Amino acid sequence: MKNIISGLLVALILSITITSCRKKDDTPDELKTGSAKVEFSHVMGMMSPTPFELNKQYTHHMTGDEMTFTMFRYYVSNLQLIGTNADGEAITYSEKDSYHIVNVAEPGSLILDLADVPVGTYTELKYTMGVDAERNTTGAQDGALAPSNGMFWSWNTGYIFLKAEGTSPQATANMNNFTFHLGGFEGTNNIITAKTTNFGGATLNVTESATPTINLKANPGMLWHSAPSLSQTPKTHMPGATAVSMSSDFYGSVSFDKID
Amino acid sequence: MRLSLKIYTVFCTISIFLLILASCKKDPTLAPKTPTIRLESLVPYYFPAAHYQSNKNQLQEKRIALGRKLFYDPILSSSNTMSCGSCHKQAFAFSDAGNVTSPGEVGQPGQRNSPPIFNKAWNTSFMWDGGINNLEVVPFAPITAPHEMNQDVKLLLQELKENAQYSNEFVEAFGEAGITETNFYYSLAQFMSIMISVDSKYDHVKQGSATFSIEESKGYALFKSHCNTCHTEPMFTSYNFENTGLYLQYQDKGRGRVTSNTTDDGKFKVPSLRNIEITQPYMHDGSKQSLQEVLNHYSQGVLSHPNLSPELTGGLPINADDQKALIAFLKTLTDQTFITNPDLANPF
Repeated sequence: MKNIISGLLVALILSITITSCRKKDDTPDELKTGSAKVEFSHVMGMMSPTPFELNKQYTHHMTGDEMTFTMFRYYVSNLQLIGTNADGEAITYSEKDSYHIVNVAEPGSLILDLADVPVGTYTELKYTMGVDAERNTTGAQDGALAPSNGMFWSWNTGYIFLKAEGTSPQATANMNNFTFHLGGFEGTNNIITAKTTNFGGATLNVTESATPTINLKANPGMLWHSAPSLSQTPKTHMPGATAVSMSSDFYGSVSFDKID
Repeated sequence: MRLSLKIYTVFCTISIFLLILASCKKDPTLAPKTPTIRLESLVPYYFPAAHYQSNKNQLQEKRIALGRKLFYDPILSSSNTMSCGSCHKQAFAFSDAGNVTSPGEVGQPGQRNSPPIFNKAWNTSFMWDGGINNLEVVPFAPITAPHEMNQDVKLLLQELKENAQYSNEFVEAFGEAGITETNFYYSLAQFMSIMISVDSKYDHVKQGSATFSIEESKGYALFKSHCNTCHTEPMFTSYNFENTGLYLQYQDKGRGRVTSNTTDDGKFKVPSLRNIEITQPYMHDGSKQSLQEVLNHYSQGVLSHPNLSPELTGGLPINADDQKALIAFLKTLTDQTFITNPDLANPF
């Protein structure tokens, strides 16, 4: 009798061991994953927008300033997809270490790869323009949040959420340079902006094979939608009212284009 | 027969359990098991809890040693001529040996007096204007500042990676990941954390192993009446920002520059008075050369700036004898152990 009991015990433990380490082939439907992408494209102008490029002169539609950009980059973070999985259950996918610097000088950075997305149908994308407050106070971090990426204020700790730099004949007060470093995560200076899109009613279908892309459009010119001419304000280098108003206009311009 | 069967069953169960454990993948980035050091165990009972507590960056001997090496290594500056130790000298409690401001790589002057470094794990903010909010990212500022060490951190990390000894030491201290930007900051944060000054005569008196002289006692009593609100014991700072009426108009706005509030103009972080005897000159701009000059200011030189600390309105009622006693007391805050501790000295 005792032999049988101990034999059963060993068998039980063995079966627990074997089943606890799973192979991917045995993955039930609700744990199958695929990928998706979020791609940013940039345009300038209001009436008939044209593709935004660095080192190209534009005449701003509101201020009339002639602007040639040499740099345009910004943080996008905390991406989430909301939808239902293959079993019809509601799910939220949250990207791990979701911090990205979208940099028009680096075409690769315009495409964000979302990995390990549960197979399913998604109706909403949530994302944040900027870096959440907690990360602005937790010290040393790697990857997109490393201080050495040039998007971090050294003497007044905090991430520079957006950098727009270039030259303009109107920016006389700043040797014809315009340099806008926008950031701020505290109190009335907080410009962190949560965004969401429901794809205009379309859906994002994530399968194990195909990788659909959510296309978003942003308009750098919108930074000056209600801001004064560069002849008056050629730069901003700290959190404050200028950053609040400019970021509000630009972040507001980021919108859904299409899924393909 | 029954006993050996029981033993056999237990043995099988245990070995299968161990097999389960072994089959679960280990995180290769975890540092080898090293004992961690608790700051609380190194300071007197009357110290408050440290502010900097990082579960990701627990104090370990090898990390501290690495931080110490980096602190004194001129490889950190762009022309490899300046280290942290160039402006933070142990004999002066890691302040800059009597310099009003410290010259940068090619001699450029700074704007503020180099603060001493001790007990930084208790700071709630860093720099004279509190602009930096975490100990780990403090070094990033002087390392990258053009008028200081003028270095590009990405280039610096490349230089460290090309150094076989650093490569090994980082792996020993942090595991497989080795030299990363974060591990670099972690090392320096650990070394700064371990720079604790807790062994002055004042501390001995507080712990009952020494007594103040009559003059020092008198000074301590005066200190508690007139200075303790801002220079609060036992850290000798409240960590708040105060305006001490040095000027009617401050060229350097201090805290006001960080908060953009004019009510913060001319306010600077209250410095700790520990080791004050050896960290001259004084004030954010190093404008007071001696403790006597400081007390002259507090007794008769305070200007009525709108943001002046209320405690200083009209100056402090301290006559010449009082000032002598206060200085005697302030000298009891010097920590010889700290400034001669070989574990904090230049290892090169």
